[in-house]
Amino acid sequence: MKKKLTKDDIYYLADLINVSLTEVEAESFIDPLEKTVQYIENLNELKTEGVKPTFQTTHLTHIFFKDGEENQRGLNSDEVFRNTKNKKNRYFKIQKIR
Amino acid sequence: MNLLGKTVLEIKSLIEKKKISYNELWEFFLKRIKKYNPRLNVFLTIVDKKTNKIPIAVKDNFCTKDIRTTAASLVLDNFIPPYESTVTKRLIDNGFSVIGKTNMDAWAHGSSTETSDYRPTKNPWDLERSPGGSSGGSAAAVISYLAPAAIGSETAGSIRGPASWCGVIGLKPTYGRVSRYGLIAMGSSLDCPGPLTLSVKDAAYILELIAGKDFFDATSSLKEKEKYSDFLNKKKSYILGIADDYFEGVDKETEKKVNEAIEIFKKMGHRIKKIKLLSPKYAISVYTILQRVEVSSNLARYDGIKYGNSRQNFKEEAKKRMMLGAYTISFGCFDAYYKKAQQVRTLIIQDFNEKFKEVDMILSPTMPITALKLGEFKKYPFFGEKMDVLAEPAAVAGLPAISFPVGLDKNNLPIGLQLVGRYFEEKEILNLSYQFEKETEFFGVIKKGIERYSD
Repeated sequence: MKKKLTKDDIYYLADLINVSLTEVEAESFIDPLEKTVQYIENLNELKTEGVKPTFQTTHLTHIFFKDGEENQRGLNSDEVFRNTKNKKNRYFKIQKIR
Repeated sequence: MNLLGKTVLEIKSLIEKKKISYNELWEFFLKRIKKYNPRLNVFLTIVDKKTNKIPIAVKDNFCTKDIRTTAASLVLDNFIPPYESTVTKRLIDNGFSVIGKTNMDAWAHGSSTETSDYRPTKNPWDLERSPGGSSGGSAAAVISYLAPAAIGSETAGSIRGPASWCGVIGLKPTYGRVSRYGLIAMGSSLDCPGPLTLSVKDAAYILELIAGKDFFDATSSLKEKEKYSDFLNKKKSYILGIADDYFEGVDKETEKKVNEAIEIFKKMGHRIKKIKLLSPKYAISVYTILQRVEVSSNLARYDGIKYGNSRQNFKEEAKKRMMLGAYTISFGCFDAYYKKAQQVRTLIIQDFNEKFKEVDMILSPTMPITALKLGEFKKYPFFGEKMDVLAEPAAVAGLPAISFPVGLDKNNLPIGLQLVGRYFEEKEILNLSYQFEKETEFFGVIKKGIERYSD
């Protein structure tokens, strides 16, 4: 685990979440992120060996639609394209995969 | 007729008795919005279209069909949802109509409504102060009476916090009690929609309408919703748990008012029991990790292709949260942070379940202090999380909770008290809150707040 973050780490994280940062921004993010990381270390004060993690609190499993049920969430193409500027005919224009 | 301060149920009855018309009702609120909104910045979008329904304010992270929905971020500045969220759909089907979309922290990231890309909302009690957040616009709309009730959403404290700082009632239901379909996701394992109201009866009534299974949200509970309103009048005595750790670092005046409320609960025949709960500081860490991881995943979809603007429109807070989320599940940190947090979440749940064998509800202040001046949050990193410290344990566990006013401090700012209940026991929380309301009328706090915005 890294506790000290470098500017390169910040750029790496920015790349992971697909945003670009200015140099000033990258610099300014180091301190708050490090402080947050330091704070969350307090979890190590608690013993968790053998404790099952909780990924959800509802205990629901296997929630399915019934076969043949109409999906009322469907949108027609006018609705689907209503909010985009990146459209050609009936397709979305997307960026090249890097 | 002077409508000022009338609750939703009072308005409903006036309409039914034909004492007022829908037209008058809408004229009344639209006129007030026109007058006060420029000062308070409560609404991001005003729906100036009268209907034969009761107006309600809705936080701008609920998708409303054909009504702009921004989540207070420029990324969604021009987004017109092609579908209706389940919460707003159920309200519309039951006699309500959206009068405006309320300001919030952008993407609900914050506890002050200051991270909004559309300037902060002002606290109606003191325009120099924050209304709390992230549902700050919704709480401010209710106490300045620009709408008779509002819908907010809570991930950890975002309904209770602003309810406390604005002096209204804020109910966070059990996770899964109310559908998240069409609610712009923040922390998907935590997000809960809920009402902000002027009376407990209104909170019960609105919950009754919006709760219940929704097949568009696979995490919504299969449990039947209950008749929350009918249950209010049952005379019940409760055992209320109080934990010292939940009074640590709490402002003296807040502590005093909460203690006075405890004395009133005793006089009303309820029993108080001291309990020891896991320190809420661990919930801050669990919440910080889980929420950030979920944020980094949920905000990945905003690429400006199918809708909205480019990712360059994300501001500092959203970027920091996504980056921290990415950090805790990369750099070989997954087990150390993410898994550990999910394990501590189990400990927090076990701790609550254990204590709920001895007590019916847990009582504490909602916020450690009253409303801060705008700009204060920025001075301290991580400050929002610490402000929400008392709200976070229940949020992480998915438990229901309520905040209501118990007085004003020397600066005339509202102080809130919260009750946390067992899973799906909203009816008990509401019952006790209603008993308290009948006994104290919340010390006139709500009335005083609204009277500041008379005429």
